Amino acid sequence: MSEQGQYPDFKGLTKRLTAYGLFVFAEFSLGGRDAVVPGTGLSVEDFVEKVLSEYATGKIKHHKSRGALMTVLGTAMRNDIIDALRKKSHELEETRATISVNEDSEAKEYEKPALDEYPQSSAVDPSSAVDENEYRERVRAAVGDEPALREVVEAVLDLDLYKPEDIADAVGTSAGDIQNRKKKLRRRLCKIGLVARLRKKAESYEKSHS
Amino acid sequence: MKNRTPEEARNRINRLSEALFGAPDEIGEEEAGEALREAGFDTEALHERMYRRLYAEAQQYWKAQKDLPPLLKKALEDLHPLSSPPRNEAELARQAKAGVERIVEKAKLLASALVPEAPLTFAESYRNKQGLTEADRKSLDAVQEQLKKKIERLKGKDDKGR
Repeated sequence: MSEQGQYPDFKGLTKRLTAYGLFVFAEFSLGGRDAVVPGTGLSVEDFVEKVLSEYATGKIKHHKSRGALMTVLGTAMRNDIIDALRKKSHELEETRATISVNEDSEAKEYEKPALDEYPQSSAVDPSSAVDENEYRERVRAAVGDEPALREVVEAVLDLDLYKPEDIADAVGTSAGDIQNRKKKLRRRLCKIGLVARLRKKAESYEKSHS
Repeated sequence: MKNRTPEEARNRINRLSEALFGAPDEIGEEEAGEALREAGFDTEALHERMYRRLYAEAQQYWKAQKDLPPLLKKALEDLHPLSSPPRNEAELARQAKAGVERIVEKAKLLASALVPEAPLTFAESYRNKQGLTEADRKSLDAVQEQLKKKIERLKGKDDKGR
């Protein structure tokens, strides 16, 4: 049940968790719909399925003292993604992991995308993806030269400010404006991942047609 | 940098992430919808996939002749695909409502394409035309005014419908 003591809307939760999963994937240089955690074959949808099914069957419990439901589920999913990145050897699977379902269930085997749609094995090194220094470097690189976004990144990474109010004080703006800038940062991060994916697709298309 | 346990290292990155990109609950449905569209996700397919996974979970309860946990039951109700046959009247009503909403959405799109958003301007070169009497000009002005009112009325209806 949600913090208001009512059942949540699972369609909304699915949407928001999948979008959050996309952002988390982008933070670790895994961009786009078909991205998988190297060495596991797990996609964003796999992580969302896991966390939602654990919540629906009572394995993850939510109480309002733990914060908003979306934060509890999103954090659990984020931890799963980081753990998957960390624990894997660097070996890459060539397919997404299949989800175990009963044979007589309504569920059908998912149609797997073509192998060339998966990221190259060189796309991300799982151990470096979860290294804090590398993470900081990736964030700095992602911001580009947009001053408003750079200010937020510098306040967090260089001044160790974490609360929107503290960042706002340092930057000389309102906490609301900082929230807007964070939203822009999310979009930017996601776009970089998507652009990389599209470029990769274009390159492989050119190779196959040259 | 001192050695940290994996959990400590993870928590540090999580803290940075939250400060830079926001907590999960800061992502509203609208932003989520945009992000999914841009990434090429089909949300209906996403819901169907989630339904299949939860249905598989539910089967284990049915086989063991146990009641479904209330949250699992709610999740299956929410995510039941519109393309599947309705199992009760509530689902039938929900599917019908979704079908009508889709049609209305399409009609709105069509209407907005037909009725221009920009302020209306009419060609008025006829005013300089030779041989027009004052009565002709008045008639033409009246037609212009009628047209203008009609389109404004249509636009007004369209806006109210949104």
